[in-house]
Amino acid sequence: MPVTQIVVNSVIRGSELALLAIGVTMIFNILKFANFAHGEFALLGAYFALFFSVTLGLNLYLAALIGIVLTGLVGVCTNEFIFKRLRGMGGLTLMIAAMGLSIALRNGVRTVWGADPKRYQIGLGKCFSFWGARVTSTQLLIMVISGLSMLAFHLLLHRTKFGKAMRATSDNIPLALASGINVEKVIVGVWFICGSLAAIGGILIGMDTLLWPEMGFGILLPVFCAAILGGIGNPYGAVLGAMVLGFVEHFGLFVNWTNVISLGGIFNIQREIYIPTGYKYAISFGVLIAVLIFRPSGILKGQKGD
Amino acid sequence: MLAVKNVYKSFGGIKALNGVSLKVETGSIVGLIGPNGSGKTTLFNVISGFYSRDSGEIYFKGERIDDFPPYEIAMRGLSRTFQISKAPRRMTVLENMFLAYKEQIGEGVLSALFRWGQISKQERVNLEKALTILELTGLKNSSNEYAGNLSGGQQKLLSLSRMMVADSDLILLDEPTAGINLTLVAELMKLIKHFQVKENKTFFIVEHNMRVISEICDMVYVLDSGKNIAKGEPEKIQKDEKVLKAYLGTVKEDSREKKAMLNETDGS
Amino acid sequence: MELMNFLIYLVTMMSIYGILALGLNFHYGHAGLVNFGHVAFFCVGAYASTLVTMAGAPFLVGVLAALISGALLGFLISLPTSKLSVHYWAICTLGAGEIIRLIALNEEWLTQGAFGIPGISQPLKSIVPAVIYPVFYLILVFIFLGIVYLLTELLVRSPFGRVLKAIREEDNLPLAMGKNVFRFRIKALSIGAAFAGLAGGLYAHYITYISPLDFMPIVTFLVWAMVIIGGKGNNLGSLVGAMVIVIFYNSTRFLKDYIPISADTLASLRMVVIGILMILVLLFMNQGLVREKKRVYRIPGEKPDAGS
Repeated sequence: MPVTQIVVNSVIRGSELALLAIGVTMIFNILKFANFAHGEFALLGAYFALFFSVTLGLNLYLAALIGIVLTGLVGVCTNEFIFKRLRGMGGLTLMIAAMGLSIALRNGVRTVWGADPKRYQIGLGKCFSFWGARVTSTQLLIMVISGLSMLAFHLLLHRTKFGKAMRATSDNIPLALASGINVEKVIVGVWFICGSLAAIGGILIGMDTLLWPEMGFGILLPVFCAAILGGIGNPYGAVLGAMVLGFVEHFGLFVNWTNVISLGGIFNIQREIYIPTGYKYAISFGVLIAVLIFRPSGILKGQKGD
Repeated sequence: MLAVKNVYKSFGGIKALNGVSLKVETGSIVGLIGPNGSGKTTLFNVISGFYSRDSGEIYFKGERIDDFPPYEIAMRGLSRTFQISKAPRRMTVLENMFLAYKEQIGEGVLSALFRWGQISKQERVNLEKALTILELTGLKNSSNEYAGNLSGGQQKLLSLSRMMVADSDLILLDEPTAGINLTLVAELMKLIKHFQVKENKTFFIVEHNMRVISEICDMVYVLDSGKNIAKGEPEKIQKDEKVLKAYLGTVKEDSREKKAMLNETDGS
Repeated sequence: MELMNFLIYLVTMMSIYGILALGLNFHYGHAGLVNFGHVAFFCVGAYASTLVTMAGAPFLVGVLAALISGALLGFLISLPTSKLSVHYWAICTLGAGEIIRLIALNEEWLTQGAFGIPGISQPLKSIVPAVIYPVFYLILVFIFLGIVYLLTELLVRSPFGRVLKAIREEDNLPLAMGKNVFRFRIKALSIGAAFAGLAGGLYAHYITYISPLDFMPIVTFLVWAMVIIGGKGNNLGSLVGAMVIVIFYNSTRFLKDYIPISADTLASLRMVVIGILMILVLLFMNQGLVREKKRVYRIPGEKPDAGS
């Protein structure tokens, strides 16, 4: 496989992960717990869009938009009815509740739509070829939408009053409260935004591949890895981490590790050593372990350490 | 008993401890005062092993302890309390007390499973000792209450009781009288004095309450911005120019307020 | 007769899951550790016992292998706890659970991969008449459950358990009291994991066929539901939780005949219910079905009515 193709695949993967990583990192920073249900927001977004486009026959963009908004609202509701009430009980309880929520949501989707994979009704689109890599117009669209979403988030964060409140809350909650910021409202907004971003991510994954009930849970670990890699609390770090992880995953599978393991010929190893594709998940786990051992605060400066 | 030599500690760019040196003699009660942010709790954390110092030496009973983890230091006889009581809320007062004993047979897994006889014997002895101390500190009636249900003042008493049970030689008290009423403050002072005299314990106390300092401390160190700016007996410290400046810091030179304050303290 | 066999199956599974739940409860309820990869210990124990007995060793050696492999993995996973916050560690355990399953799936030379390992031996199969064999195995599992329960109770009530209780809430106080918190965590994790491994071994020899499909994350979630709903920190609660979940999980088999829903949909629906139940319990009945009892000491000279 030509290197350019791997690069393209990596960027696509990174784009998908980034949108979820941003959400996870912000929730971890402001609400102090790892949201194990975050993958299911992507799941919901994807399936909502499926419902409105395939079942109800709406235009995919419209369906996607409705799905995104709906998922954001679901995020707000989970905060309102579950996480807000459990806040006094510590991060561990919140994590477990998130796990329970994840089970309920994931299986709820499975109940309604079944376990078989589904697709959006979009053609593959035109296929472009450059420098040895093949990209479909759909894939280009995915990268563009992801980029635009991240840009929108950036603008929100730095050009709006709400974004300023978000940054203040992210930085130091008591100080934000003392400055007159309605932290509760910020939290509601954060859940909506993070839920929506995750929904976009889910829809993009659905466009790129398929929809299946485990798609949310399956990317949970890579998403956490990306967020930690980039520095918890730093949404830009999350994007960077997601991209890095995308590259590591794809190059990790591609690279011939024989040379590395035989230490450049010191040991004589006959077999060709590649990481089996079955262990793709293990790569993000490996990266996570490496980050936590060598640089737990992440690549970029997060808002808080560990 | 405790010797701190030239200890430095920074967090990021902030120098919390800027070359602190002090000594605590066996059997004495030493106070540590200073304005907020002067590094008192940081010093405690460094001494007790919760923070590692950047440079400097710390000697306890002649042994160098500056690289030891907190539990090693505690096992050697140096205990500390925390500003905000960290007593496990869902454990009872007695359970809290039991926690403090060192060298418990039942804390190893195999011992817990097989040496029941010896464990119950030890527990019975420990229970008696705990109750004696609880009687002294007035908590005996709450023996089987959850620590989380105690009032703030009672929690301070619990911390002190736990220290006594631990049978440590040097006890670091971090603001033991903060936020409790006057009667209880008097009670605490009496208890500290009692343990110093009767059990030959040494105390090193961070305090803001000058009355406590002047009534029970033999010696006082003053910390400001991570540096030791004064040491001496309580009365001397209270009149020390440098100490006043540290506390009153922002008062302008020759201002009416400053003159008034100096006059007042001179008069006392 | 059908009913009888089904009941025996039900109770056997309750007991095996009970041991799993006691293990997780030891981690979370007693030591305050959130481990989302519990199925990994189950998996390792099952394969260890299988491979060892397939190589010719007797059943009890297999069980021992299951215990040890579980403990070893528990030990490995506990090592990062000295440096990682509980949240990061929880995320890692999530990964670890899946990695173990992936290894089972991919390392075909060891585990026969997706095919699984059929024909696992059963203890005393030739001696005990086939008709009552299920009962025999049930009693065997009961004995192990009883031992595990006894051990956990002993440990929890001992000074060791007391230190765990303190560590459960926060680290600094136990450290200041001279307790090597890290060492206690390692021990707690290894013990709970050993139990889970044991459950794996018992499972393998019961079902006589294991494959990576038996060790999906759903097992971890079911055990979590058992611990949360049954009552964390309380060993009896874990057993109650195991009973409740196993009964619920299996009862839906019968609903199929009365409600026009496909088996697959029903399977998903019951997980939805379990997830919702977990959340409801956390919200409204935080201590679970069986609360943790307060440790009350008899004070000489006081009338034994004591503080509630």
